Amino acid sequence: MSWDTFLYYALAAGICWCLGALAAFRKKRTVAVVLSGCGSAVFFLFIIGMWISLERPPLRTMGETRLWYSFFLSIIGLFLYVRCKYNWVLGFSAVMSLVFLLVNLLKPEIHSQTLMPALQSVWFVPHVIVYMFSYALMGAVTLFAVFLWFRKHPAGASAKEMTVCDNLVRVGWAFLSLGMTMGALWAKEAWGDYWSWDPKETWALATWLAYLMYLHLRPSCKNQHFLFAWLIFSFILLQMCWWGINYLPSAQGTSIHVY
Amino acid sequence: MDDGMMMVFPKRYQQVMARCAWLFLAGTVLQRGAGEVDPAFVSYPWNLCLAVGYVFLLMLLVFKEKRWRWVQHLYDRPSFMASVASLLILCLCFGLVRQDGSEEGLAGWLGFTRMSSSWIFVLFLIHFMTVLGLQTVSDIRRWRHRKWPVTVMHLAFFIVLLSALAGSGDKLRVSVNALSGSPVSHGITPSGRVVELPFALVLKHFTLEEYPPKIHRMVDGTLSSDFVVLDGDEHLDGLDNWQIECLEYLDMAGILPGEEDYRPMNHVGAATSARIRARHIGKDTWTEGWVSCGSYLFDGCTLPLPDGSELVMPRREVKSYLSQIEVLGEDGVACYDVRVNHPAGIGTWKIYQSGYDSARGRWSTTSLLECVRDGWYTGVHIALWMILAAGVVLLFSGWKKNREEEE
Repeated sequence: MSWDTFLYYALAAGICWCLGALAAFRKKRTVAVVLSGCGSAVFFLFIIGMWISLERPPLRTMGETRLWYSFFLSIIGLFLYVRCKYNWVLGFSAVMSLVFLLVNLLKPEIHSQTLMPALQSVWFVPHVIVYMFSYALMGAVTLFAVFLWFRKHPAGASAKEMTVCDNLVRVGWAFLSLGMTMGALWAKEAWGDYWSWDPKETWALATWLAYLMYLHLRPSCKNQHFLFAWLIFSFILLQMCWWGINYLPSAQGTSIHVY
Repeated sequence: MDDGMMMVFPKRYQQVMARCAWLFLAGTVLQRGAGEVDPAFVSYPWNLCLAVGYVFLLMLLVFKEKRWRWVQHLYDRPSFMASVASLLILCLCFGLVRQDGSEEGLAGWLGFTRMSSSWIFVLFLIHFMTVLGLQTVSDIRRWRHRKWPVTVMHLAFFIVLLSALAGSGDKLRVSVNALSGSPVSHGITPSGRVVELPFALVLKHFTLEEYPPKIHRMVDGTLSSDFVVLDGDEHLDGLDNWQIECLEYLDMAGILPGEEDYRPMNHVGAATSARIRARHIGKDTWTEGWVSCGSYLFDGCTLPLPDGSELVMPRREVKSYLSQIEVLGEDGVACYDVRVNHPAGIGTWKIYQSGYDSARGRWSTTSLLECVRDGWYTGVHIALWMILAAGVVLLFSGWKKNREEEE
């Protein structure tokens, strides 16, 4: 499997996701689930193929993490559709997955088989995959929050809708905690420090604290506007942690993280 | 403040925010009066006594909270929110201000340019840890089986924070420059202080494995992002508009003065070299010659192409490196293999592979090691594994049907 074949896999997956989203809007549940599932399966096949051909996990570069982000978004969308039966959720996840897929087509950033010694750790794969999954979950909940905030509904979000938000944040935060802890254990093995206040780590902690605040704010705060705004703010912090620090003057040349 | 904001920030929140403001003020005064926080200001056994006393105080407060009502105000939800919010704000400052230790501007004046040594940051961290500690003791005292993952998570984070704050004085990191065959028994701290190690170590052998060499095209001094990997003879591949053919591949080669061709050289300092034929796709032009990544002994060599660009073999990327060391301690002699991500453990010390003589590359006879003493390692490790276990349980128990179920 080479990167040259990505276009075909991306096309197949994209078409499946779009058709799945369309079927969901038309309330053809089984068709929607099968098509979206096929799209994710095709995409996963490409990731596995890249893993085999690169002889290392495709998790090293920003482009490679975007592959996982697209994949996980589609999986989370499918899970939410099956679990909560929202017809629009597959459309959302398909659009988000396609955006990241398109970015990868235009800016692949997958070139090399090499993996530097520090990345050759048992923690490499779980650390990055867990983080990517949590990013995808937080992306999904942010989209959901934006949808709930800006739709014209006089009563605001229902209790059930807010519960979906909370659940996504809770599970996403658990994944963030796992990712952060795995990173700490890995750093201790590699450099002798659990935490070194690398810019990536600082922004990861800020993101973790922001979502922690949401979880503890929820039982007492009934102001939905504030909660939705907080979710969006938290997601901005997450983006800073993921790729924003690459453009931040204060972080230039100081991070040891490769993506 | 309108009703909506009052709902978000009721009076109790204003009180805890005022507490944070006082902490900020105290931190500023300490920063200006006493300078940066010295991480080593308290070490064993006093840090252990301090930690035990602190935990005892937290337990006492929680056990007496019915009599001392104010204790509940130390770790209620608004207190927790304020402690997290203040830490979050400082983290944002931490992320936005360059951590170069500069004294310039307001950030430098407050110590935000070296945040981890800033009094304000340390006080907020202690505040957060205290709120978390009180909550943890309270969780354990009023044990609810259903909430055990959250309690374990609280406890584990508390242990990590307490160990980080109290244990920093015990941590020692020294760099050791180990020359092959020469015993070394001292290291140098980041501040330049020479420290005697409780053991001596000898570098027996250093090995470095590299990835196969790559051929890039260089145009106006810029390397192409595409490349061809050479992993043997007769390799054919395309690079931009050029078809690259490897006519001869020498993993270890050298060139003698006055000669034009590289020759096999089984010798220290040998460099990877390849004789390449590049044929332009479309035009019938081609060129042939040697490219080499060079070494500390031999210069590198590029192949000029007719269009003005060059074929270049950059230094080979490092796949792994390993130091075989012998450690002479009180318990006798022991041999270890030290690699990145695979440190050697000697009591409370760990020896990490940190680098090598990069100028000599795979012919390096020096290994850069780092010896780290961390007496709190086991406790923190157990706490981190507790977080992992609790996190996994939270993943499966995290999905609730409604809020009532959660409450």
